[in-house]
Amino acid sequence: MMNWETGLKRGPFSDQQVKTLNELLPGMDSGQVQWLSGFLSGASLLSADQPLQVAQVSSPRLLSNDGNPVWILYGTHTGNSERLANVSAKRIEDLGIAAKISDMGSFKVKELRNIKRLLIIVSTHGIGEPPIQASELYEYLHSSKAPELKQLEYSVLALGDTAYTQFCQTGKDFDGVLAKLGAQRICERVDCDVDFEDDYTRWMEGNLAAIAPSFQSGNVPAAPIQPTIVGKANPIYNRKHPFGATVSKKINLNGRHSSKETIHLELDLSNSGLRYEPGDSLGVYASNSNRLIEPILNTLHFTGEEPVDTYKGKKTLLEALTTDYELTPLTSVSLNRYAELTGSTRLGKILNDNTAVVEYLYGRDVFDLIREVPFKMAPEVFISLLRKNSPRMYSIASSQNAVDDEVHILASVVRYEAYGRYKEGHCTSFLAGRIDEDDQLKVFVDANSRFKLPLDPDMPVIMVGAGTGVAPYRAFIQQRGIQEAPGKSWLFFGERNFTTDFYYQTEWLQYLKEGTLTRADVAFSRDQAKKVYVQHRMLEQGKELFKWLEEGAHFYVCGDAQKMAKDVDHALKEIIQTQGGMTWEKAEEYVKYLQVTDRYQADIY
Amino acid sequence: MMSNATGAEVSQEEHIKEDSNFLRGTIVAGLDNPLTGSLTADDAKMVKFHGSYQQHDRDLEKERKKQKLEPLYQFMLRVRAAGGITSPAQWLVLDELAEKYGNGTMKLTTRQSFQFHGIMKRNLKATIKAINETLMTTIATCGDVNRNVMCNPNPYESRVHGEVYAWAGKLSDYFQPKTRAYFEIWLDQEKVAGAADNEPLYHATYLPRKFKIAFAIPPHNDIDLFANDLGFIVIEEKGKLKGFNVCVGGGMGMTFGDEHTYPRLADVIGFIRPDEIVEVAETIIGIQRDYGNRLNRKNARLKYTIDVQGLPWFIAELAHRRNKPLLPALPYHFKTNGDQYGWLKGTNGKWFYTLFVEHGRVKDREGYTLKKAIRAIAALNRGDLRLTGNQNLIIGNISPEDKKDIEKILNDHGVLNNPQNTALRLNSMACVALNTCGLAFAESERYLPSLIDKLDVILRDNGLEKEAINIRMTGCPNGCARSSLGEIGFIGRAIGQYNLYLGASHNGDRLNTLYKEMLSEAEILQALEPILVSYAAEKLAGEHFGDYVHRKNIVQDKRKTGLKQLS
Repeated sequence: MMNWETGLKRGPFSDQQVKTLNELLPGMDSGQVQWLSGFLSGASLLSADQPLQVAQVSSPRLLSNDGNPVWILYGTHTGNSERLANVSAKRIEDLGIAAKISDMGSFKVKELRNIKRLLIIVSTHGIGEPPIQASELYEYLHSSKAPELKQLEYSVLALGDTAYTQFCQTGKDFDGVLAKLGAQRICERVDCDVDFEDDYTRWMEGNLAAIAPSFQSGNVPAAPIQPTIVGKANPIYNRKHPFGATVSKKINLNGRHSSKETIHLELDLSNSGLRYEPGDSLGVYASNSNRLIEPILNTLHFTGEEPVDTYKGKKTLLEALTTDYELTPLTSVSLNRYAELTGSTRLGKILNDNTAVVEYLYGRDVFDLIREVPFKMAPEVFISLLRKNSPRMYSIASSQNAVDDEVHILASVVRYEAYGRYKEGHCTSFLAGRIDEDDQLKVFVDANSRFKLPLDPDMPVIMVGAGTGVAPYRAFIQQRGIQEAPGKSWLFFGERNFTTDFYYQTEWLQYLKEGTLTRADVAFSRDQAKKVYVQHRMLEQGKELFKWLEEGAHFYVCGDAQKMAKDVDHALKEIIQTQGGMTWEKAEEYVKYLQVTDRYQADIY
Repeated sequence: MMSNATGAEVSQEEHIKEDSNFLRGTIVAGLDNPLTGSLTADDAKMVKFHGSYQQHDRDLEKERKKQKLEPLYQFMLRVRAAGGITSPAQWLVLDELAEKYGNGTMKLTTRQSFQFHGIMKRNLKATIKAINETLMTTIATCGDVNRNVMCNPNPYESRVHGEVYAWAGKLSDYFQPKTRAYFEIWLDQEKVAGAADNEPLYHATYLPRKFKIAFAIPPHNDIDLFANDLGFIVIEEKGKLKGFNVCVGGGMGMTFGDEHTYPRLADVIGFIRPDEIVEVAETIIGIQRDYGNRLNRKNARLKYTIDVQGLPWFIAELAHRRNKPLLPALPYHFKTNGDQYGWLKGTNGKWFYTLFVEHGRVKDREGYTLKKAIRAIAALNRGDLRLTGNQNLIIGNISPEDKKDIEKILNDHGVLNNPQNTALRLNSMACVALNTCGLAFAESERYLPSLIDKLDVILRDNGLEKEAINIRMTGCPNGCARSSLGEIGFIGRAIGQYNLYLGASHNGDRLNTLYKEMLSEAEILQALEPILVSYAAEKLAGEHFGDYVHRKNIVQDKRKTGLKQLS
C-alpha cells in the first residue's frame, strides 16, 4: 500500500496541508482518487495560464519583468548564435532580470504561449534556409498550428553572410511570422554580416534599453490574461458516432532501407470534446482500397452501381464495400455463411475441423474465398456474408496535457504475399496508403483503465515495449514530463535495427537528457548474428530491475501478445526468482500480487 | 598547467584535451551506449586523435529529423601509411573491411592515407582492431598531433628514394603519441600497472592544432611540400643524400569572412644534414607546442605562429633551442606537383604503374570496376601498392615479366586507357565533402566529375584536351584537396555555388587568387570559357595555365610571397 504521507511531504505543502490531505486521501477508493486526479490536473491546467503569483509580484527583482524571464532562443549552424545567446543571457541577468536560454531544437513549442519577452538569435543556412535545429520551430510558426502570440514581445538578431542572395532570410522570416502572429517588437531586427560583433552589440543595447527602464520605473505588471475555458461538453462522439479528425501530420518513422513501415499520425481533435488519458486507445475506422474491391466486383460480375440495403441504409454496392464492410481478413463467420450458401463440400469438410478452419483463414481474404469456390449471387447476398466494418484500436502515443487538441497514434503497416496475391492490413494499409495529411479519419476514444500510470507520481515505472508497443510509453513520459513527476522511469524497447527502427529516438534521448526518463535499454534483434529481444535486456539488468520492483515500481508491457508478452512475463518471473532468492512458485505469487495491486499491467494485441 | 608560454587563457578544446587523461575521455563508455550512434561532443573530439571523425549522412539529415531519428551517425576512419606504401596483403584486408564495415568504398587521401566512410559506432572497434592486426594503424591520423608523414612515392629518377622513405617512416613513428589509451580502448591491451602515461614531446594538451610533415625529392613536388607545416626538400649530391632544405609554415585552411585566416605556403629557412632531422623536427614541433595559439583554433597552425611572431624570430628561436643556426638553403628545382601516369622504370630496374583514381575513390561502377581490379592485382601478391599525394595509386616494384598480368587485369576491368580520363580529369582533385563531411558547404567529390565533363567540351573545342591543367575543388575552405594550389581552384560556398580561384603555379610554389565569388555552374562555365579560349590562342610554348592567367593579369597575386602579417 502506498504511503500517502511520505509522498505528500515531498510536495509543495505545509505540514498542516499534508495532515489535512492525509486524513482524506487514504480513505478514498481507487475510482475516487482517479476522478480527483483528473479533476485536479484539469484545474491546474487552467490556472497555469495565469502567470502571476502573489509571491512573485512582491519580488522587486522580478517586478519589471512580470515575474517572467526573458527567453533567448537560438538556432545555429556554426555555434555563433549559441555563443551570442549565452552572452545575452549574462547581460540580462546582470541587470537583475531572469533569463532563460534554449536552443530551438530542444525548445518545446507549447511554451511559447507562456513567454512574455523573447530574443531570437538565428543564422541562415545554405540558401535562405533555417539551420536544421531551428527547422521545427520555424515550420511550426509558419503552420496553421501556430498560436496567437499577442502576449509576446520579441526581437530578432539575424546572422548571415551578405555574399548570399538570401541574406539573413531565416531571421527575417522569424521576425515576420512573429509579427503576423500578433507579437510586438521590443526593438527592430538587426541583420548581421559575418563580422557580427558590432551589430550584435547595437541590437543588444537596444533590447536592454527597452527592458531595463521599465524595471527602474517599477511599472505595475500587465493584467493577467484571462484563462480561456473551453466548454467541456459531454463527448458526443463515440464508437457509434466517430469524430472526423483531420490528419495534421503523417510520418513514416522508419529510416531508409528499413524492413518495417511504421506510421506516426497526429490527428486534430479540436471541437470534438474528446478527452483521453495516457494508456487509452484510439479507435479508427478504415475504408477498403479499390485494388481489393475491383477484382471482387469483376469476379462476381457486378458493376458497383447496384443499389443495396445496408445496416447504414441504402447505398450503391461500391459505397457499401468501400466504407461499411470488411474484405480482409476472412472471418470464420463469413466462411460459415458462404459454405452454407454454396453447399461446397470442400468448405464443409474444412468447417468440420477446427485446425483446418484456422489454417484456411490464415492469410486469406474474401476475394480468395470467392475465387476458390465460385458462386453466382445477388449483391445483397454477397454483403450479407461480410463482416461490418469495425474499428481498429491503437494505443495512444500522446498525453493530452502535452499536445492539447491532438492525439497521436503509431501503426505498423502489414504487407505480405499469400495465395499468389499481395495482401495488406485492413486499417494499416489505409493509414499508410489511402490517408494523407489534411484528410479526415473517423475516430473515437477507447478508455483503458487497466493501463494507467501510477496515481502517485513518486512511484517508479518500468515500461517494456517492442515495436509499436512503445506508443503508450510516449504518452506516459509526456504526461510525467508535464507533471514533473519525481518518480523514476525505465524504458525497454525492442525492434529490428537500431539505425532505422528506433521509434521516437530523438524524443527519448531528450527525455533522458532532461531526466524525465531515467534510463533506457534497447534490443535490436537484427543488428548482430544472435537475435536479442527486450526480455534479454531485462535479464541482463535483473538485479536493478528487481530493486526497482522492491521500491514499488509499476511494471508495464505493451505489444505483441503471441510471443513478446509471454517472453517478458517469463523473464520477469525469472528475475524475481533469481534476485529475490525465491522458488518459481513464490515468484509467480509475487507477480500475481503485482497484478492484483495494479502494478503489473499489460496492453497486448 | 597549460604549456602555453604566455600563460594565456585557452579554448575549450584545450581543457577537453587536458581533462581527457591522455586521450581517453569517456570513449569506452560512449562506445557501449546503445541508445545513440554518436559519441559525446568531447569524445568526438578525442576520437580524432585515434584516427576517426564522427560524421553523419547529411543527405538524410532533414528526413531523419522529421522521423524523430537521430542523424545517421557514422565514423570516418583514417589509416596511416607513412610515405603511402602498403603491401598487397594489407590492401586486401582494407578492401574487405570497406565492404564489411564501411560503405563499400575506400578513399585514397591527398596525404597518402586510406579513409573508410560510413562505419557504424558498433563496428568501429572491430575495424580498428582488424587494421592493427594487419600491422597498420589509425593512431594520430587526425587530431592535434603530427599526422601521417608524406613522401614522394616514386623511386624513379632518384637513387635516394629508399633512404628518404625510411626517414619519413622514422619521423612518422617517432612523433606518434606515447599514451597507452589507443591500445587500451581499441586493442584490449591491459593497463600497465603503475605506469603513468607520459608525453615527453606533446605534454598533456598535445599541440594547439594539427601538424603536417612531408618530404619531396625534386623535381617532383607531387606531395605539395609547401602546403605542410614542416617540409623537407631532398638535396642530392652524386646520387647520395646530402641533406634537406627545411621549410616551415605551410597550410591550406582558412575561414570565410575571417581575414586573419588564409592559406600560406611554407618558407624555406635553411639546410640540415640527414642525421639532424629528428632533432630539428622535434625542436620545431616543440616551438609550435609552446607558442601556438591555444585560444583561437582558427589561428593555431604553425603558419600563424610564424606570422604573429615573425619569421626571423622563428629562425632565431630554432637556433637558440638548438644552440646553432641552420646552414643556408641549397638550390633546388621543382617541375610539377602532378603525377606521371602509366609505366615508369625505377632506378632499381623494377616497374611502377601510376593508376588514375578519380578523386581517390576506390569503387566499382558499371564497366569500370576499379576496386575489383586493384583487389585482383593485390591478390597476385607481387610488388607493392603506393598512394600518391594526388589521390592516385602506384602499382609498384613490378618485374618486367609481370607487367602483362597487371595490364590484363586493368584491361579486363575497363580501367586501362579509359577515354573519359582526359588530361584535365587526370589532373583533378576533390575532397569528400557531402554527404559525410560535417564541414562542407557544397558538393565536391560527387560534383567535380560532371563539371569536368562540361569543361572538357570547351577544352576539346579549343585543342586543349592534352593540356595538364590542375583543377581542384573543396566543399569548404579547409583545403583537404589543396584547392588553393589548383591552377583552377573551387571552394564551395553553398549548395551549387563556388568561389573560383585562378593562377596557382604548376609545381605548387604559388597559391591561386580569388577570381570570382559565388558562381553557379553556368556562371563557372561562362567565366572560364573566354579565358580558356584565349589561353589556347595566346599561350607561349610550354606555358602552364596558372602562369598564363598571371601574364595576362587575369588575376594578380597581391600577396606576392603568400605571406600576410597578422596585426
